[in-house]
Amino acid sequence: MNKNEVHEANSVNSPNSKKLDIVIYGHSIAAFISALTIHNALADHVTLSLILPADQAHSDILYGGTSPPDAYNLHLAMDISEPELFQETNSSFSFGTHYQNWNGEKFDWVQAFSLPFTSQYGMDFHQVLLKHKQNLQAYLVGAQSALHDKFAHPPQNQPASPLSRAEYGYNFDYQNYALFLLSKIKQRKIRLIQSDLLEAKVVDEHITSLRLNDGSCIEADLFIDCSGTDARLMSTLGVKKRVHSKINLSLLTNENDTQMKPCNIVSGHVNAWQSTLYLQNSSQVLKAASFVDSAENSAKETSAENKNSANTIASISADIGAQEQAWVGNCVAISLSAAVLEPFSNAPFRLLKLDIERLLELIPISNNMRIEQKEYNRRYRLDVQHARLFNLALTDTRHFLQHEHSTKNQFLASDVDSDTQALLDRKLAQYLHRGLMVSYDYEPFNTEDWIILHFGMRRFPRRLDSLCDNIDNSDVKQHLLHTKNAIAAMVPKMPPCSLYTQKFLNYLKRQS
Amino acid sequence: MHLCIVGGGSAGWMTAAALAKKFSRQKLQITLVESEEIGTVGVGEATLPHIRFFNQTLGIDERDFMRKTKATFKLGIEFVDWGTKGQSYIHPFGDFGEKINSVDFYQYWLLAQKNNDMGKLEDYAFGIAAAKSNKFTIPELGAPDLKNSFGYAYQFDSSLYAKYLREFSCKLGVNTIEGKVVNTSLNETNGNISALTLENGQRISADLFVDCSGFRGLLIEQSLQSGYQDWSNWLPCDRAIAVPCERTQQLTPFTRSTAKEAGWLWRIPLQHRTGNGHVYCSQFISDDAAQNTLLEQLDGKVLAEPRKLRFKTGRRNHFWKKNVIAIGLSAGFLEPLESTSIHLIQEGITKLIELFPAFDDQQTTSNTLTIDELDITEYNAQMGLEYERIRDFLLLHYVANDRSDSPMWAYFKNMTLPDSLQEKLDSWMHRAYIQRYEIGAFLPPSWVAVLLGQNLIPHNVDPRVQAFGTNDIRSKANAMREDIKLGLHQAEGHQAFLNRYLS
Repeated sequence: MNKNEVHEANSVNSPNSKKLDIVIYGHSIAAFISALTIHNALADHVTLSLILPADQAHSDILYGGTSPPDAYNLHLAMDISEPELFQETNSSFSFGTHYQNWNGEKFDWVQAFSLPFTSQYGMDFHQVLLKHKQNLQAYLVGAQSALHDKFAHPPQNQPASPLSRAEYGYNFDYQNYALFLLSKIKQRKIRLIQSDLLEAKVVDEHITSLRLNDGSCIEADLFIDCSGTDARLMSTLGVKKRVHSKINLSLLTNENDTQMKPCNIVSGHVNAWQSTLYLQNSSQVLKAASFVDSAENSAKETSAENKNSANTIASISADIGAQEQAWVGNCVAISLSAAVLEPFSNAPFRLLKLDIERLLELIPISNNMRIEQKEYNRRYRLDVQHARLFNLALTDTRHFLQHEHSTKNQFLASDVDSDTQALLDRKLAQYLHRGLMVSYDYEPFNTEDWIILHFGMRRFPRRLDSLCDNIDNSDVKQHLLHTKNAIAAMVPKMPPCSLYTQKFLNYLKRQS
Repeated sequence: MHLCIVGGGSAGWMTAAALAKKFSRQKLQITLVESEEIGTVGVGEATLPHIRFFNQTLGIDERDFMRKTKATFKLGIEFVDWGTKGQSYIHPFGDFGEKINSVDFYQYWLLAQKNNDMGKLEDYAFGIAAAKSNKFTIPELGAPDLKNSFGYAYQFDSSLYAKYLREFSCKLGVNTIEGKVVNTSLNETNGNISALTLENGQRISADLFVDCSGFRGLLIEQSLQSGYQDWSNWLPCDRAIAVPCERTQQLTPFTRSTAKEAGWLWRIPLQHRTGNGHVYCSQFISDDAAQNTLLEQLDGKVLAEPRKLRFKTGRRNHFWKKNVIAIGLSAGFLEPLESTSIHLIQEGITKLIELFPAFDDQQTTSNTLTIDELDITEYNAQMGLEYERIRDFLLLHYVANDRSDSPMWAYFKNMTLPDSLQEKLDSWMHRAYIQRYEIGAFLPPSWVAVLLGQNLIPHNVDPRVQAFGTNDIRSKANAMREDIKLGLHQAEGHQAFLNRYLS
């Protein structure tokens, strides 16, 4: 639009009387969350159909069964409450991820969720901790609770309670969670078409219709690809996907495991890791092995072993990487159809939520979607890049290695483009130099996540903020001791996670 | 470590005060060189709310500061004749209304405008309502209601502010030297500035220099040849005339900016006088005509000779080069249309403190001080982004309007905008969408204020607004207006508030 045209409008157009016809394709967590959030936010603006293939996309195991605290709000946007989630699924509470023996360097820490750190010394809290050589973990109530298998809801309006600084997300079983979401869809006025895709008809980068295996042909204004890593619709549009690495994943279950931990435990290193998550009455282990083409056979063998195991739920191979564009013509790829990051962090779920928010903010007004597409792709690329920075930082051990040359080679093996590398290097270099936290606009992981990560990965700045020498250290010591002791005294008094969850469920049962 | 600040204007004394306070327990010796002969520009008498945090960090008492700088409160800026002649709006410090179902309130308001259903958008911003009624109150910290959801800044005499901070700094041990710098010596090994020589022959050595010498950039440009990015193709105003006058009207808690044929006029009410100025484009108006335009608009009697300034909009290629950091006008210039001059000084200081070189007594002699290139790169990256985003926001005022009644406005009409701004305008006009960012002085509510204030009514709104029933929206909107009305009822007149607050 030329800026001269901007004054042509004197008032906003009346809402389009013709509803936007949206078709979601996929049997996946992303499909269901897309359908429910769009339905809730835009029921009067759209007609919504969900084409539901018979089987759930196994690529849903790529969420790693973990979600960050934001999942709570995402559920609210679908009119789903926490009590419903707990009563109707085997989901559990999570204070974060416990990395154990991580990265071959034996890093061990809880990547806990936390509200912003507060500091009364005129400088960042982490600088104070570094100055006093304190372990951040002792100041994270979520981390301490997770280590002791304790859980309680963080109290609201009790700022004096150490627990009020904690945040929590959920651990979930991808199949159970999807079934739950599907049941909610069935309660809404969303047209369900139980069929599978035979062919997508494309003209000028626009999908004109989908031919299904029941013989029907579906047309729409906007198609949303939620088919998982297969990206069935996007693949018909010729979008390039940049693949960083390849991975084999197997998900195994351990039924009747009742030792509930309010976190998932991730161990291993970038090429082979596993995540154990604890649900109500069971646990699951996600095993992952990355491979380059030459090593594919060996990784596949490992995968095959897992596949044959009686308690294996699913096994898949996936490309870690991202489509260059997530919105092409009249088709938007959501979540795993667009970008796949390794689920050794909860980056995949964070990206899913960001995809949904971005789509809702830019849902088309008419069939001319050029502006929406451009803006969506701009934000999508930044979000994926920024989320990937966090995953890269989780595997970057250059600070541990003496010879920069060899580290660089090892690190770049995961195919990092120069732009992303520069952003990561800036973050890491500034932190290692003087503990400075460099942020970019609207990163999926916040400053606290990054600080906890740096401490966990034992990244210690060479020097500190110059202001560190300007504070009264005896006061600081006293305050730090008080804070640490308050957490240490409170955690043993908290209930075990399993007991708390059971009582929570009993309470909900009585209420209903 | 010895740090030398060159320049005794707002930038120089803000820097001296902040560094002296922040590093009071460290071995930082600060010297400030100022010259009465050169004088100061006295930029920006109006500020942004961020200045409060700056003062708070220094431990400055608000009342004491306001008394001594003849300050008034500022709730926003009134823009007159910017969208179209005869029309005005206020850009407040705060948002319009409250989000409903995660959707910004202005979206609902835009849709309701079709039926003229929800009054004016300004009815939903306490800052505007209070400014229009010449009222003021201090918002209750942490209160969630709309009547407390606003920010405030100050309008003050910047030369008095510099004087105030001079006294503050000297108490903290800042050493002041009166003199004119005539020469700089460079260290041949590392290219750093090692010393300054004053007109009287005095030589001042230091490890680190802060260039607050104003437009000429005595150290950053004349000695270190940083280079300058010229942005005058986008913001072509290149001159200003400033003149104070007697205050004859009510004390308004807002600054006024009035668009003219070849620039704009500012009006900043202080306790003891009104500050006025005309920023203009010399390509489209003569200096004499510009001065006449200014003098014709004054509220009262002229109190001093008009002062003339020349500038080139843009920024240094390097804000920090070698051992010199440029802060204030020596770093760059953006016209004070949104009161960003003092804000940019503050940002420069804040980032310098964050990235301040190490205090290592073993190393910090004038010949061996090593400044990490990482600090310089980071400082320059952060400041560059700050300047660029403000530039786009300022340019928005000139291009988001319906004016073509003079050669200057025609120039803007035919301008090719920076892609970053063009994209923002496109998405706004298409669906009232603000392309947001997190790092920068002006966040989405500011963009909405200017875009709607200057009559850029988008073609469509966010379709999510239709999900909420009209009656529900109306009822929520009424509650918001009532809350603001209540707040307004409780607020005092600006003058009365000041009298009481400062007594």
